[in-house]
Amino acid sequence: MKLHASQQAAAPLRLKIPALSLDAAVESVAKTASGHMDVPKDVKNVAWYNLGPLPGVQGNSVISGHYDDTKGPAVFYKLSKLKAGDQVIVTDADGVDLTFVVVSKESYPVDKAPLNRIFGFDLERDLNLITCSGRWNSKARTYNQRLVVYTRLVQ
Amino acid sequence: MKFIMNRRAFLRNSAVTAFATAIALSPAASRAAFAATPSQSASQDLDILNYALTLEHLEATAYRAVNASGLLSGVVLKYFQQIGAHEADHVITLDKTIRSLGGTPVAALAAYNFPAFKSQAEILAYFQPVEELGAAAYLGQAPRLLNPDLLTAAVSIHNVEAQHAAILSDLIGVSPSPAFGMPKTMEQVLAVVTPILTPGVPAMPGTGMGGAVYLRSNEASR
Repeated sequence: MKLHASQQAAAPLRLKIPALSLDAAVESVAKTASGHMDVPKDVKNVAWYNLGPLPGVQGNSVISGHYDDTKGPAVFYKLSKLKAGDQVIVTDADGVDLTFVVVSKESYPVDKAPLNRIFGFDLERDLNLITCSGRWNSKARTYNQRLVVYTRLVQ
Repeated sequence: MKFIMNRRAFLRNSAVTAFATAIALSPAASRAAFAATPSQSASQDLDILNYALTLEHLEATAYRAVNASGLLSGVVLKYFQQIGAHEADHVITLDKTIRSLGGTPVAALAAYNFPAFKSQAEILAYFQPVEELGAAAYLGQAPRLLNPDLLTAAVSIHNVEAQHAAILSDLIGVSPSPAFGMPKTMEQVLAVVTPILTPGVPAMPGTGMGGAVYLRSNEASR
């Protein structure tokens, strides 16, 4: 239950994951009319959930990215390759780099994900990355699972 | 009004003063090194103080909201205004204490997931367990505080929270006090307050369009 340094933070602008050679712009999204976290408009970008905390602030900040588009892989296609200790760097609007490290990753059936653990309050400064995983359901037009990579602020 | 004056005097002479005095007199706090490079024990104490501040932010915000709701009246409104002032004082004091120990206090959340109250009775039924939880939370952390001066100060706030719980218990017609206060761990408290601290949890996003399926099956067949 360790609390970390600054409570101040600014909106995230870029997400970098060196282990995946990923460097993406961060869009700001809220909820869809159906109550789902919205997704980035551009599949090359990722999206920060702006109804939750900013990355670097106490609680679970969440960034999602597409696994694929209609033609092929998208920004978080290789997210499952991340392993514990890999760095995730968020550059915020003040130009500050916030470094998180991967703690764990889990795939959940889409309707059984532990939403409070992913989006809910905690005393740490965590950043959770979400993308699709599992099997494509062509009827429902969605994958049947979601991968969550849990990361924690280290500096 | 007499009650309010007495309560205010009590608060000034207990929690706030105790914290201020504790920090002023603490040999550890007076060492520059304590603030510059907090030891493990100082770090644990700061975590506990920030946990307490998280709860106090919640309580202070909740009282501000219901005190402005127009749903409370008479003696209940007077008590709620007084208790709300206490919680606001706790926030200020914990914030200052954390800063004085070289820590960074947590901020209030932008929004809390409080119920949409429709009556005074609903508000009383909600706040009574909140105050009991607050008292139990302080009691639960008492054995974990490593700076004895902070322990004294925290117990003084615990005492006030327990008195709030007693007042609200009396107002809803239940026994105002058990024989012994029961502590709750951080995990137990957070399990209760997490839904309040988590407004608007969304369902999972739809982050796929199926275009990688063909690619994936090719990769699997290699």
